[in-house]
Amino acid sequence: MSIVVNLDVMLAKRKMKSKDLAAKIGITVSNLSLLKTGKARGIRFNTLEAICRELNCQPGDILEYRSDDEVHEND
Amino acid sequence: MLCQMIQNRVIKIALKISKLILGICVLAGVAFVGFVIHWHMSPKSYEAVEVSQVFKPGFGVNGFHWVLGKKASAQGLWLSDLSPLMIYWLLLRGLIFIVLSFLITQAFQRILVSIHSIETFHQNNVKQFKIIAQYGLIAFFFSFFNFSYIQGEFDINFHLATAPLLLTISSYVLAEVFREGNKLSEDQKLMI
Repeated sequence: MSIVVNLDVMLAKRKMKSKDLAAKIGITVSNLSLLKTGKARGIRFNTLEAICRELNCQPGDILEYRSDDEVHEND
Repeated sequence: MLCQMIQNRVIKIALKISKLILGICVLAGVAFVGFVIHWHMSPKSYEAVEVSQVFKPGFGVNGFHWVLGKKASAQGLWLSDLSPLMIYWLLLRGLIFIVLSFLITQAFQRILVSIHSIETFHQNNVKQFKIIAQYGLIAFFFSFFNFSYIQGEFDINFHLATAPLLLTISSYVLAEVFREGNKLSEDQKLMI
């Protein structure tokens, strides 16, 4: 998919564990894992808002658009 | 909440009805097989059975009457007048409809169980509806014709049975609806 989720990068920058973030934003660890691995089909605005609030960042810091060619090159 | 309770009650009633139909199918199947065995053992016991409507096409076999004395209708035949081939054909046809009724009801029961356990759009339901559609096609094929071969006279009858055809079409439509529902349900699950 062309949308890349950089949640693990932001978590590392903020030195926060996935488990803690999941608890703070009120979703399960497995759902957060789906989001991190890019397996999720979509993200709700309220989830995105909660993540940005807890990580003190912008949606653009978490979500990034890359063309399919770029994604394949990185793979 | 009230709506959910009513839905559960309706599904429970439907499950009980489907179990009853399955039981009736099993009993009818056993009776049919029992009849064949008993007919082989003592054909004379069936001399007083008149057949009238059995050669008509359509879903099911009907027209067996126990008659003591005179025949009920002028067109009626005694079962003993029929050749073994004709009797086997009538029994085979009857068994096909009983087995199809059993399998279709069983498939509906599986769908109902799935709905009852709140897995309405499970992938298996799509498969079950496609299976029902295929059984409907088989039922349509066997309802389409019937024949008789009595004392050298061959007669074939055709009939467009709409019920199995409608079952097939509606099952294919429902399979598509449930497939779409399954896709939406998967999307919903993966929406974080």
